[in-house]
Amino acid sequence: MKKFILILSFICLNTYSQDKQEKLGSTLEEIKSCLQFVEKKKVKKSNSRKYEYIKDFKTEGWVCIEKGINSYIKGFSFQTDWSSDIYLSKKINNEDLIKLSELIKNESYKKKRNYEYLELISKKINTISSDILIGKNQWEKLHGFRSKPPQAGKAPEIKIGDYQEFKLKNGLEVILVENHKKPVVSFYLVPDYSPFLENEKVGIKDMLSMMMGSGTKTKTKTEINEITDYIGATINYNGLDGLFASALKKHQKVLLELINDVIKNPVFSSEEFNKAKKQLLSGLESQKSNPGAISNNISNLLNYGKNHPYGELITEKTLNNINLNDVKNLYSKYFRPNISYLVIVGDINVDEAKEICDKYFKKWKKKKVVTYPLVECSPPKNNQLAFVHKEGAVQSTIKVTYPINLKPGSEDYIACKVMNSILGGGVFSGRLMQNLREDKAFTYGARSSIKSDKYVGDFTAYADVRNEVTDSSIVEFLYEIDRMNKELVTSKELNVIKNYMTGSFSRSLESPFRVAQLALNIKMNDLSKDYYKNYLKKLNSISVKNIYEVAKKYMKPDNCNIIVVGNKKIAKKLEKFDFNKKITFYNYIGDVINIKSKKINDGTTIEDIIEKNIEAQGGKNHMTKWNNVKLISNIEIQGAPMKINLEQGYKKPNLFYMSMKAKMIGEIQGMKFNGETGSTSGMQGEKELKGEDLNKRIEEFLLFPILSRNELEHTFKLIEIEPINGSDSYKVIRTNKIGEEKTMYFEISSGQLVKEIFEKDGMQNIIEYNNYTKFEELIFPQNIKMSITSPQGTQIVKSNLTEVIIDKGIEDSNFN
Amino acid sequence: MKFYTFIFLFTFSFAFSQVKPIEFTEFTLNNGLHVILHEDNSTPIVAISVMYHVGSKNENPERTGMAHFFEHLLFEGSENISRGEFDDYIENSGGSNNAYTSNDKTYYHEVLPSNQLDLGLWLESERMLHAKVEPIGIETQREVVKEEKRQRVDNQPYGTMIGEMMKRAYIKHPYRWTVIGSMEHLNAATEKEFMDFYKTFYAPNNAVLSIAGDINIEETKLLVNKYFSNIPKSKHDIPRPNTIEPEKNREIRDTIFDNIQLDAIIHGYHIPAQGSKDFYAVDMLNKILSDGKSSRLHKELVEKSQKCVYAGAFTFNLEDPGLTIAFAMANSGENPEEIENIMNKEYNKLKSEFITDRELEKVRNQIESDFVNSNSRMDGIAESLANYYLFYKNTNLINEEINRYLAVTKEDIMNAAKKYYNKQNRVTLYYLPKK
Repeated sequence: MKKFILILSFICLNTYSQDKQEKLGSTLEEIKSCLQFVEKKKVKKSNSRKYEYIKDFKTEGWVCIEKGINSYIKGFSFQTDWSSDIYLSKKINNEDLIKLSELIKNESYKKKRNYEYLELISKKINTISSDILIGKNQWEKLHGFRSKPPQAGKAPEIKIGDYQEFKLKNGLEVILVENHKKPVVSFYLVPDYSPFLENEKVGIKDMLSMMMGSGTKTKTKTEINEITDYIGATINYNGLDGLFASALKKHQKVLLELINDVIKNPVFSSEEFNKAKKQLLSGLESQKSNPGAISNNISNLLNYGKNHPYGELITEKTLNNINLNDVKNLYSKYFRPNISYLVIVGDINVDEAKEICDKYFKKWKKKKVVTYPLVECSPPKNNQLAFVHKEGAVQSTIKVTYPINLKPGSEDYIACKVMNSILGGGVFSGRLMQNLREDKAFTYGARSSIKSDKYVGDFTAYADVRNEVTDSSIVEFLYEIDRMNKELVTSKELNVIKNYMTGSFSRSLESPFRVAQLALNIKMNDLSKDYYKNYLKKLNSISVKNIYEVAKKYMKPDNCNIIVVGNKKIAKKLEKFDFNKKITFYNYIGDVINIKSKKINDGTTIEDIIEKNIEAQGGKNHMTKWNNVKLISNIEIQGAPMKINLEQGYKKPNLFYMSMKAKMIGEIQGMKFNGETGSTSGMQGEKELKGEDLNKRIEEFLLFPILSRNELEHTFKLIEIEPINGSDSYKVIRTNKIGEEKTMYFEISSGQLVKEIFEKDGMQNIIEYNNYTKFEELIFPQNIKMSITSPQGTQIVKSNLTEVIIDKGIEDSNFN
Repeated sequence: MKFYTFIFLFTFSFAFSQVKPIEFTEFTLNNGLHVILHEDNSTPIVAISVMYHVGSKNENPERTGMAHFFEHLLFEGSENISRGEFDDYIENSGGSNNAYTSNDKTYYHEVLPSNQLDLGLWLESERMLHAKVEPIGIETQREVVKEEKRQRVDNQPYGTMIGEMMKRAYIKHPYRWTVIGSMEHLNAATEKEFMDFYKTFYAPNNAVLSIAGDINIEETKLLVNKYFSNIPKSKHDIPRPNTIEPEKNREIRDTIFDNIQLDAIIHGYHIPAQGSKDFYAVDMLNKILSDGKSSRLHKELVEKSQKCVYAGAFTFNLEDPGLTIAFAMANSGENPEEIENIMNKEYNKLKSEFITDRELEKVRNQIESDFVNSNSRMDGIAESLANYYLFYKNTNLINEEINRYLAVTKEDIMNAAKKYYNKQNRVTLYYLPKK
């Protein structure tokens, strides 16, 4: 009887959940499993992309379990109320149950263990168990069928829409996918060029892409835009990646005339050329602080090499080498019918398609397009570690990657895609995700990709991880890659992926563009015409053994480029992953650099460095001789619209003001200190500076704070020698009165301060000082660049010192 | 007279593309659940969706964010679905799913292989009948929603724009708070409040179930009946706000300093509710201002004067009277006031001069193109069907709404400009970079 009641009580608590009932056996065992269940509920992390959230419940241990029971019972009290609407009617004694839950709550706070209070429940429940039983039966009748998920029906037959093809005399190959559901037609024209080197002019392709559609011999850009909008069309110009145009059937003629003109008679003006170049340059600027972009650069470079088109990187230098003629030449070389495909999709039949091609594309002149031999790409002989230092990074961006030869539609293709999905593909259940995120909580997401390509592809496993687990993460990456070719995958894993891939493939066929894309894949990769018709069949026939075979062939845990973009502090720990125990450091555009620090062994002391620095700024004599100094600079904030002027004034003994003004807007920020009291002003109003706030800023009020290092209670510690912009510098850590640290670099040759790194208000500040220039007897850096990194990204501020006015007097009103 | 009709018909059939109408079957279950089915067997997939008539405007002003919070909470599981398994079922069957919340509605949908229709209905019925509203899920989702707010609102340049606009544009109406709501409110809400919200709004008589794709209508009716007919209807009255926002008599201007790099100028004008005659005129007017590279704002601000990197306008279609918002993002070094002057000039031009015939034709072409291209996927069709029934009580607008646009004349557009594009009827915001 007791057992029955206990079970019943749990049926009630769990409101009849099947899996939970099964877990209950007898007494202690059933309680244990109940607790495990509660724990599992706590520990199981939800896995939708909408609520990805990690909390380490495990460490909370027993506290967690107690809390679990607690909330479980609390939940019960209101669940009773609500479920009573459906099946328990009013017969149940709610009051009793609520009392009971309170009781258990109190018990659990006293940390009495499981068995005792569960026994309490069972005693209390006893009195109302029969009501519950009736309710349960009613419920079963109405809703019992819901407890198990329904079985899937017979798998539907997947039909792929047909396509037709024909070829024009000039070589243009046309693919047609008829779809008469909607009166819409689309045209996609794409040159199928083989990759080529751009050498010292990398970026011409990107320039062309931005300039297509910006004018023709007879139409201005404005006219092209007007016609496009007038017919409600969509046109995307993507250079050598093709041109896509779509409109309603009734506007077909206008659309065709327009794109025909754009393709055959484009005009590339120097005005548009400059616009495009400016945009690409500012894109590059933002790449410098983007670890993802840096990591891609290095992986392309290492996987393919700079002698392969896929390994070439755009830099400021290569962009500046490009001229307008390069773009024109690229266009006329590659926009040729004999290497192009025209894909037509929509409300059009083959006769009409042929008629159109006759009218618009027949006269498009063909010209032989030279193809260039490509160098072979192969994985490194051993694992190699490449490191790109990112100032102040708190995360490491890791890539474990190598080139592979996997052509789309080749024999191994589908098995490789399945294998990759099991390892780290689309679904959340991928092994990398389970291991690095779910199990270890190293990262928000760890995945892998396998890229097939007609020429050369790659395998890449990747994640962004916390600094301190960078090495452990690489261990796990290599372990999982290695495991793929050591053990068979389970059939459960395989089936989940098959279902997932079958589903995504079938869903994608809803779009006629997808059907056209598949047809184009067939043509471009020389696949058999029924390749995709058999795709699902092939996918479903893949066995655990097939996966093992391709893993053996494609998984190479000992031939990886391991690329880490992160803080160089952690680099040393990664040496072990490199076969030669030697890390190669790169900058963001892939040049090998030396960032190794050196020990100081010539007896230089910190006092020597400070003294030399004071000499370098004009010497103590000159640095104290002035009465008042005014500095005027121009400020440029990257991406911000306004031009800003900065004025800083210093007056003996310690008066200071600064004011930042923008045209039209007025003062953005200001600060004043009259020796005793200070204030800040600006767009957010005026504020008095006092106490702690004022003390913190005292240093900022001084023209040469290094002279006041003793009064300010600054202590200095010499660390090592490090190259800054290629020039050896002393790295010094300065600590102030309240223990805040600042890293300073003094160039050995000049003695000047060239760089500072410090944290302020949760943001990381990097300041670089350049072009020290003499103004009368004093020496100031003319160019200062500040990079301020917050969670929102990096902001770059540059200042240019234009004028230094010494001893020409400053009105006292400026300081008050 | 006969001759005239003939001409009208003739031009009509010539001018507008013939689109096959979307056919559908609709009925209401005894518990009030409205069901709409659309059969299309060309691809073996099915879209299953439930649209609940609850959005942020149904919230208690002291508990904002509840509706959106439920969109998260209701993926936590149900009596028969363990935590986290909701998505597993979808993924393992090769499907995809998603949900969103607006000021007026909460929408859940999945696309599955058509042999998994049962599964989709089961999942949605679990959500409607007895989703788990319990502390552990509430705790988890509180953190997730906070993270979402950080990512989508706080850390997104101009992410606070809609919130800042709405709280100034509305004094009384519940559109004054944002859909994401207040984290303090969500922290303060008790379990009972969560449960009450669920019991009040997540009821069959407050929802539309729509299914589109490779289905058999009669079989689907039986399945819908099996999974949904036993779900009890809500015993509460479903509260709907009846606040009318008082008419505005002066312009509201403000400046927001945010973590952005470029200045932005934003105008929000009060407009009538979706579906009204004037609404369509305003929507057309917006297209003239900002649809495509030849539109007036884009041409003046981005192409000609190059003062802006972006300029556009969009209509907020809401169940109660909403807003139309124009947004211009300045180029480096440009003066926001000069940009605002150009914007004002463009609005005024719409009041004093008729748009040209070619412009009217252009906008009609754009609308026709949008109309034809929309509803080309099953999940889109399911959503449109549910939306037209829920908010217009006319499901067939999926085929006919375009006629309401095409009926708008040049005079209507000028009148709309005169009536709504007035200074006293607007909120003006400047977004400037924070120092």
